[in-house]
Amino acid sequence: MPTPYNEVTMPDKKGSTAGASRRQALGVMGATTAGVVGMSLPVSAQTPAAEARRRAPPSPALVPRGDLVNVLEYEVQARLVLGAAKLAPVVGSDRTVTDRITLRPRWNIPTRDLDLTSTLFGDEHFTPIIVGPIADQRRFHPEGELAMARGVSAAKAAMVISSDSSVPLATIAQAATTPLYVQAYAGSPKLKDVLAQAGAAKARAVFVTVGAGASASGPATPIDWADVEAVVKGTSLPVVVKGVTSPQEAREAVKRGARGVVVSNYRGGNAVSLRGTLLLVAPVVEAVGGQVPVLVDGSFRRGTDIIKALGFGAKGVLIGRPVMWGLAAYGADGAQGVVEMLQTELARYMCMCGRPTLASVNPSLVRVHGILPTVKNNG
Amino acid sequence: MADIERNWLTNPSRRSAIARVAGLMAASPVGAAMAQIDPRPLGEHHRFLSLAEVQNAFDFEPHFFGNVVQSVYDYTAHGDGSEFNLRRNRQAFDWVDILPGRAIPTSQVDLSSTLLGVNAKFPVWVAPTAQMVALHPDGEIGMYRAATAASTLMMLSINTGTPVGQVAPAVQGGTLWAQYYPQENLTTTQRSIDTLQGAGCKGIIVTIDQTASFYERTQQVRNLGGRVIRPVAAAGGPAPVLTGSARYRINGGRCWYTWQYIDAVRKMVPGPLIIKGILEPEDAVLAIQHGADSIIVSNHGGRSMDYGPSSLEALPAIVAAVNGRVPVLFDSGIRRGSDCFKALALGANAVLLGRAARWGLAAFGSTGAQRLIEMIQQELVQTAAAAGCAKLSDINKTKVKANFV
Repeated sequence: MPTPYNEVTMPDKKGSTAGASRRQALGVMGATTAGVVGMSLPVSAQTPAAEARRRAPPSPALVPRGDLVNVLEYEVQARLVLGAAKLAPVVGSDRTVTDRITLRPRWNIPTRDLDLTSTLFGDEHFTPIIVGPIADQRRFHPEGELAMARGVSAAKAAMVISSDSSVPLATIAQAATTPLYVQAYAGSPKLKDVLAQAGAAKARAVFVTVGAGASASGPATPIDWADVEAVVKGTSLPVVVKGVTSPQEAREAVKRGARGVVVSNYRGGNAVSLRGTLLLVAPVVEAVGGQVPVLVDGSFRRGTDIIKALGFGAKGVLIGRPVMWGLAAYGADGAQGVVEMLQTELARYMCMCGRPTLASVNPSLVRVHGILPTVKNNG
Repeated sequence: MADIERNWLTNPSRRSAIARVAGLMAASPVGAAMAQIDPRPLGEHHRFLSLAEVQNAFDFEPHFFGNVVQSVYDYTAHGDGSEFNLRRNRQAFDWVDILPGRAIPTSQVDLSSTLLGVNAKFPVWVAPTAQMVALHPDGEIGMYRAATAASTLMMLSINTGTPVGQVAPAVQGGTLWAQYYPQENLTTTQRSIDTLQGAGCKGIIVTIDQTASFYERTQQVRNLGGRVIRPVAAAGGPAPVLTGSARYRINGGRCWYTWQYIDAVRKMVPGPLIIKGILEPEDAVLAIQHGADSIIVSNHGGRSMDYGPSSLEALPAIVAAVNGRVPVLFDSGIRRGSDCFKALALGANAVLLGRAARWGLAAFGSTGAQRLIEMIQQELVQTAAAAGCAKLSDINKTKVKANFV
């Protein structure tokens, strides 16, 4: 019986050396396999571990960033730095729904020319992974949004800046080299200011959060479409409605002038906002019928999660919490590391599904399964 | 009394003593249900069972765990990504019911067949897996000896720890086939195939899966220190410009595979050419169109692409698409005779043991691998007898009900 794989195997206690001793246990297999195959890489290969050794980790208790192997391990490191209480607003994942969806591998389709670029709201994107809005990022790192923007720019990803940012938008805009979007709450009293700042900072679109009340801390409210129309009228930028949970809402958003929608369970508070949204994507895409791009957020933690959303027709995926884990533990480098890790995972499964471009991604990539009975696994 | 039960009673082990004491309790319905829970978690093993005591494939696993270094364990036991695929490979067997039939004595069961020119007593073969010397000093030669003693054939991995030229002549009367990964240069390919065939490997298995996940699987990354491509500036020079998949830090070493390459290999291989890693009916049809004599439905034991289909769930549609044109082989998750039965009933012509065979070799060397293979063969015979199947063709889809969702 194989020991169950725990996605997080890095230490979760300060000073624990479990990770280090595991790394020292390099055995015959590691050495031999590396030697036998003798891959010729297009550029010099350099191990992240070696890279991380050169650059000392921010805190001696943390695992070197290059030794982390998936984004879930960043959460553990973030908790070491911040403590559970401070990290509480951005902890957790709910990937239950992803286990009902499998991918269809297709082989012998060359993917060396893999190209994940796409055009969204007038800009070319390196991958369809966009960093979503999270308020007051100084809660997680002294440099807050500034460090996040540096890291995310280095990973060539676009980002959405919360209207409750702890760093002035203009300052973030100076640090960012990738498209910047600004988030606003529908019906917020400071909407006019946010829209003016967005214009001045040359933001490329406004993401308007609906159904979450007038701020991040407010209670969930029904969608007031007049508030959405007010945002559309109040700016010349494309307006993207974030918080669509049904095909009807998506159609309504388009009718009210939205140039994009984000399928999202975010309604304020953690419990609801974590729930997976993957199975909502296809009906919403069908409802808007290609009139506007459909984006999605909600517990995307693996490249496989992201490629599934693309298979259902999403044009982009917003990543929130994992980027904050990276930021909290390793600053700008961590934010960059998380985004790059997801980009690489997505690229890997694009290759294995035989999809060299985003244009070749379609619903034939995914298969939705029913809910399986829980059976004791005898192996 | 079946052999297995007699064995328990005649071996003075702690396990058999407990079995006797628990006998009364097991006679009750509640006790009987409890007795079926198997295997117990690793931490509950207080003593390693000797070769005389092991009762099923799972009993070998603690020995394997204890005998190898961490990186070899991780390489063998773990899978890609979140290991959804690895888990589902095993779970899928639980979702197939074997339908009760009129039981026959095991002595009436004959599962021999001729497949791809090989006369096999049982449709249970040894899959190609890498670096067996790291598992046990007996290595590939030990596994070949075990396979031959268990009257089955072995597929040798290209990443073998013992050169094929030493493995092939080491055992008399066996059948050794060879697996390899495509090599972009056709001259190199020809040389590799010449080497394999020159050593006596008639059947050639080409593995076409595990492309972009090559070297990127979690435990590989951890144990090998990572293989992520980073642009490195030459001293004083500009950073190299990356294109295609390298921009996304993908190791593109296996991202060139084409069906045209299979056409070229077909011309080099006069014997059976087998394509390994098929999971979709479309690819099965393409493999046949490009000259494959057989395909292996496999997800590389969950080590190729996480969140792909389990091999067992993928099998029925592929069998339907192949429609009898070529034999369909199957691997990923076989641990018991009943697993073999289910795969055969869903249309496989033979099944391969990968991880399980490695447990046997790592546990007790060649003898252990032989014992494990024979155990699974015997379990298959028992299952076939219980389901009333006297020959291989009797094991068909009327004997099972698949509850896949």
